[in-house]
Amino acid sequence: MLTVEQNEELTQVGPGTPMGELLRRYWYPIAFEQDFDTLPSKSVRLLSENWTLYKTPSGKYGIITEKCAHRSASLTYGVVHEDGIRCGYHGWKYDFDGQCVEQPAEADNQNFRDRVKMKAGKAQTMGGMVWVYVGPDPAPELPRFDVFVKDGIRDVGFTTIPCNWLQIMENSVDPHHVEWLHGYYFNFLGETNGFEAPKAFQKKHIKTGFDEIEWGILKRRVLEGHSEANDDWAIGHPLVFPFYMRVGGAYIDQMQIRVPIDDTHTWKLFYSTHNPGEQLTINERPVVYEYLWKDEDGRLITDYIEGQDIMAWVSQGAITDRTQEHLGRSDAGVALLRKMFKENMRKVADGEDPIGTIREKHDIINLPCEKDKFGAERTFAKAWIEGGSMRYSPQADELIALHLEYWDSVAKAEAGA
Amino acid sequence: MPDESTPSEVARARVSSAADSALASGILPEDPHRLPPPTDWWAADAERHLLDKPKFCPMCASSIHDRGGISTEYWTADTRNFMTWCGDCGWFGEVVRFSRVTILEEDH
Repeated sequence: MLTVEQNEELTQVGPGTPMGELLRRYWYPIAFEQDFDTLPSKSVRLLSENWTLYKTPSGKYGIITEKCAHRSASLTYGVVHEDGIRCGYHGWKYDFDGQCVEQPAEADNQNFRDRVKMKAGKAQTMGGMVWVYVGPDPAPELPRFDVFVKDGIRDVGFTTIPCNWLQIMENSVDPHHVEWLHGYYFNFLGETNGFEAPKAFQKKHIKTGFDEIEWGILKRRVLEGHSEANDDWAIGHPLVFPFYMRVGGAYIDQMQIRVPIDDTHTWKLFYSTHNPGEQLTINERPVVYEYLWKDEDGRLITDYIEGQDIMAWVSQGAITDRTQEHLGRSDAGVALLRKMFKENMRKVADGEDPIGTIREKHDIINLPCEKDKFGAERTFAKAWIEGGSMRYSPQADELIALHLEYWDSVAKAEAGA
Repeated sequence: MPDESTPSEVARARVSSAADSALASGILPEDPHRLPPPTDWWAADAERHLLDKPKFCPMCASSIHDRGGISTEYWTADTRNFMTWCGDCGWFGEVVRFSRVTILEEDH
């Protein structure tokens, strides 16, 4: 339980708010490279501000406040140049730093343009996505987390969820929900509707643990019939501060991404890299698709894992009221995460870099993540694809075949050994 | 005259009265924070949280609120645990409010 003020402080992401200032110290994926195949610019919303994201003819990306400083027309309908973007309305031109450099209808001998500078950020690509930074200079390095840069077949499901991003993050430090929401409830749906729910998620939690690490919070669990020697405890997987969770298992590596669009909307992506065996063709651009979470009648779709999560997040309300919650001992991870946010708001207010800021050039950041998930190993990949948002992927059948083929080859090799 | 209050209203009135009397007698410092509307389902618990959460760091005695700290409350049976971080000295631990001292015996 929190106070009214604390709940507001933790959930408001606009400019000038403590959380908004903290979140502006990180890079966010905000579009896909293929979004710019036919149009050079796109409107995007991030951290309660509207932006124009654009790509120059030579492939450089820029991001600037969407409304032109002149008379507020949208720059998304502007003219993209090699060195910036020009408003379609009266031709005011801005460079990559947001500085106005041309005002065609004004006399050239005045310095009016010098006083016009729009908010602008940095933009670059990684893993087929366009990433932006809209915080103060100097911008940190874009963290090259393993899932985005390692070999494998890439697959990204996305949707926009009408709730605050923090309640999605709190779900990532709540291990017990897996056994109930994805285990017991999923099994109930299966028994009611005549399908078999994945067994791996039904195992009871015996112990959970949380460690604060360089990148966030490492989450561990011991399930019934397992011990601390199992990957789920010995390795675990991390919440990557402030808006990711890294998961994986059975040769699927996944980053769950929660981009705070504004206080009540979150762009939710599941970025997966499939890499069983060594015969893979790498797709530089991921296969991208929108997964569904509401049916034609407006009812939430809960017969798959992420649909169940979305039910929990959305039904909490657009911004869940933490003055009305009743946490128990099993929610200790939630309390720890809130402390981490407050601690890093404080760092930013004191002029320090928050956790996870990286300023050194690097090739890859390998995150700890279990390989043998829930002890399910050979059955896990198929269950995850069929029972999760990846079932909406246009390449779902090929991915399942790929994993089954790999495990067949392992079985054959073991039989022959 | 029969009492027509709903059970939740009765609970809230009882807690409010305890809080008010604690405030009046100077046991608890006045808290400047807002409360959820009294019609909210768990307004009484929110009120107790506001009044009972640690005000000062157990280590350095700085104000938890003024120095940017946080105290999240969770329950273990009747025991109320306040996981607390001090924004001043960085102390991180729990302040526990209980009504009964319970000893759990090891298996023997």
